[in-house]
Amino acid sequence: MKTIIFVLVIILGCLWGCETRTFTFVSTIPKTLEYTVDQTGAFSETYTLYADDFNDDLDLPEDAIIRAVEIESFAIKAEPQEGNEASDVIIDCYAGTETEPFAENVRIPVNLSLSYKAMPGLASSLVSKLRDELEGFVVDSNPLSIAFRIEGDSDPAGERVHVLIHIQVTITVGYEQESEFPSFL
Amino acid sequence: MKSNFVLLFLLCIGLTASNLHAQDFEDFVKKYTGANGKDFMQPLADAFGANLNSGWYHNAYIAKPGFQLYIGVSAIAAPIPAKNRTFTATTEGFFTPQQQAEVPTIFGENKIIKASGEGTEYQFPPGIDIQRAPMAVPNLTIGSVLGTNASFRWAAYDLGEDIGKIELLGWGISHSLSQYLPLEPFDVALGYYMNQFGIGDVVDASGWLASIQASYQWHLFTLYGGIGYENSILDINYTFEEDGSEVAFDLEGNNKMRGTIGLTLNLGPVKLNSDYSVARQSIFSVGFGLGFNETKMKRR
Repeated sequence: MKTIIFVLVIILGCLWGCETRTFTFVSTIPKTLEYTVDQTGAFSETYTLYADDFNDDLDLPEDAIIRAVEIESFAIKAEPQEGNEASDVIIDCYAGTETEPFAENVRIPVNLSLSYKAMPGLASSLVSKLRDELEGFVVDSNPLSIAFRIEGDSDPAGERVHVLIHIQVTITVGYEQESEFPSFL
Repeated sequence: MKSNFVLLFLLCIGLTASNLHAQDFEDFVKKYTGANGKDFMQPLADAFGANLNSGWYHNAYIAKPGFQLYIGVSAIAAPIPAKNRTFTATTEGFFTPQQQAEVPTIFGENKIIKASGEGTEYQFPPGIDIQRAPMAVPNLTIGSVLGTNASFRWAAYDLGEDIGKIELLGWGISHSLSQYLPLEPFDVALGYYMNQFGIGDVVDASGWLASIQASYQWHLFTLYGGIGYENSILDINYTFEEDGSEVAFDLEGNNKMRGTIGLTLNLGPVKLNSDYSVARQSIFSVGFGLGFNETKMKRR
C-alpha cells in the first residue's frame, strides 16, 4: 500500500512533465596554506598549490560549465611551536611569479588561542591576477601549480621564530549545469 | 550520502521527479550555515508548513447520526510570493568590508549576486527559482459519532539505512455545530488537525490547524470555506560527511491566520474539490476521492 501511495505521489509530480533547466550554483572551497617557520631573523617559505589537488577538492560535476571563479577572502593565524620567542611576526605574501606582494606588512600575533583573522591591506590588482590564475586552475588546469610565498621576520626583529602560519584562502566557483526539473514549478 | 541529501530536500518540497544532483543542493545551502541561513530557508518553512495544514476538508456537513466516509488524495501547491523570493543578506566569513545585498532565498531567482571587496568578490548563492512548492497527501475521513468525524492521513516510505524512513502522519477531528444551532441552509463545523512529518533524523516538521468551517450545498456543488488559525515548525539538521560541517535550522512557519474558500463537485460518490486559502503563504489545493453520505441529498 505504501509503495502505491509513493508511486502516486511521483506520478502526480510528473503529470505536468519535466523540462531541462540550466541551474547556476556556487561552490565554496576553503584552502589552507600552511608554513612551518623555524628561523632566527628574516625567513621565506613557500607553499605550492597544485591544480589537480585543487580540482579534486572542488569536485564539480563533470558537465559543469564554469562561469566565475572568485577569491572571497584571506584569513591568517600563527601558532607558536616549541622554543618560539616571537610575539608577533610581520609578513609579505606573494603569489605565482609576481614580484610585488598581494598583501604587505601583515602583522600576525603569535598565540595558540587566537583564531583566524581577516588579512588586511590586500592589493586589489594583484588579488585579481591571482584570481585569473585560479580560474585557469579550474577551467583547464593551467597553470599546473601556483606557489604562495611568504617573507617576513619577527617583530621586534631578530628573535627566534618557530611558528606554524596558516593562511586560509576562500575561493568560490560559480558554475552552470543542466538538470531535469518538473515544468509546473 | 550526497545523493541522499538532495533527495531529502526534494521530498520536503515534493519535487520527487527532479534529478538535481546532490552536489548541487549542497552548493545551494552549504554557504549559508551562518546568520543568513535562516532567512534563506524561511520560505521553505512557510510553504511546507502551509502545505501540511491544507487539504483537510471539502465540506462542513457531518451526518448525525449516520455513516460517513471519504477517501482521497489532495494535491497542494504553495505559490511563492514575491516577498519570499528575496531577503537582505550580509556577507559572511572573512570577506571585507562587510556588505549587505538583496539576494535570492532558496525559492528565488537562480542568479548569483556579488559584492566587491579589495580585489575579492563575495558570491551570494542563487535560489532554485521555482514559482510554487507542491505536496500530495492521502486523506481518510470517517464518522460520525455524535456529529463528530475523524480524519487521518498517513504515508511512509523507507529510504534506506543512510536516511531512514520518510513518514507523514496526520489526524484531526471535526464536530458539527449545525446540530446545535439553527443555521440552515448552511452547515457549520469546528475542526482541529495535527500533522507530523519526518525524514529519518534529519527533518522533523509538524503543524496544526484549528478552523471553523461552513458549507452550502446546491445541486451537485458544495460551496465551502473556513477561517483557521495555524502553526508549523520545520527543523532540519544535517551533517556533511565530507568535512563534518553542519546545516541546522529551526524554523517556524509564518502562517497564523488563513481564510479558505472552495468548491466541491459531487458526482455521486466521486468528489472533486478545489480551494484557495488566503494567508501570508497562500495555498491552492485540489482533491479527488470517493465519499459516501457526504451530501444532504443523500439524507433527503
